[in-house]
Amino acid sequence: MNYHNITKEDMLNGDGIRTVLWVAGCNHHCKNCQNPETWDENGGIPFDKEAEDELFEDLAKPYVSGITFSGGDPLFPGNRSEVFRLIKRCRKELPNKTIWLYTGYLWEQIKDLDGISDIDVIAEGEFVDELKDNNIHWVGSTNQRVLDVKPSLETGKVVLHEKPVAV
Amino acid sequence: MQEIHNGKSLVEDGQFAIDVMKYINKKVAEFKKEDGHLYALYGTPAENLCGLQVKQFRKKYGVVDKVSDRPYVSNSFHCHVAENITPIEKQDCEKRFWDLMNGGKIQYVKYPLDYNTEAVKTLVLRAMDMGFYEGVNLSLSYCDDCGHEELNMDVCPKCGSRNLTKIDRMNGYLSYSRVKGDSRLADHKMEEIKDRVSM
Repeated sequence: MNYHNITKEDMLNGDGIRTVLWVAGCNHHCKNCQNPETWDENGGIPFDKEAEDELFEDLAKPYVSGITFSGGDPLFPGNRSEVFRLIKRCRKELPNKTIWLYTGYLWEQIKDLDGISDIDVIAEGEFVDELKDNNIHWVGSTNQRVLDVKPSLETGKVVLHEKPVAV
Repeated sequence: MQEIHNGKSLVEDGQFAIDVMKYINKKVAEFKKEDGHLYALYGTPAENLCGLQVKQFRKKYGVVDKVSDRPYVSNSFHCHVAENITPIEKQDCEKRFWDLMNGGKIQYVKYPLDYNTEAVKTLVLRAMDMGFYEGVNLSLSYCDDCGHEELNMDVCPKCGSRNLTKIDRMNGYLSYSRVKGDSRLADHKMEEIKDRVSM
């Protein structure tokens, strides 16, 4: 798997202060994507041991709430085994950290993937430029959903991470 | 002061500034003992002086890069507002000066979102552990024509109006930096708001 960046002390991609891994590879190609340079799975640099050490070292810091996988698409077919391995390692070694994942796939397409239940929050769906809204939380367009994985799996219904605020 | 000394900012170095503050504190302690009055050092944002002082400095020394090249001077021991540093770095950097300004002080961190309450909580709790008086900085704007709210805008994206009200933290308080298109703050403070990155 290739990656583009590890951002630290990020506040824009999930609750709290987070470590974010930006992986390479995405086949959704949304119009006006924020990071089209991350579409190519061969772009960026290999995610090697050094990168993984850097990631986990930052994640262990007491003020870091957790890790966010973004990109690219962490669930791009070529990324899945490596991403789920990292998720498993995080769950095992740092059980108090939360795990967020951004993907262009719909919840219904990914909910049965092995390992999905280790994720806390998934921000899903393709970005639709016509539905862009700067005021919705954590995602770019109103079709995208930010959902809590555990209750969504348990109830078989999409349980949103934040209840919509009546305007 | 640190910039004049060796051309490095408080973020890049800061040791000289710490030495100066320690020296002043030593003097303060001496004066207290000498005449029995209480003195303390105050870290001030100097609402008016921060602009006036640059003008006076320029008359004598001209425009010195990173010292008098902007129309305002920075607040006491705070990292320059334009420093591209993270909130954790800013807290750690300013901690070095914290016990040297016992007459009054505050530490700020800027938040790029208004709904990441977990991040606010994390940084406020960290600040409490460090003994800080912590300021939470978010800018807020709303459109007086259609009511649309956004963290920071100059033109309303919903209706195109420039008739906006904007609120920023200035000199420790939330103030109207724009009311119906007009500012109520001093020009040099408005320049400072424009430069803000880490605060």
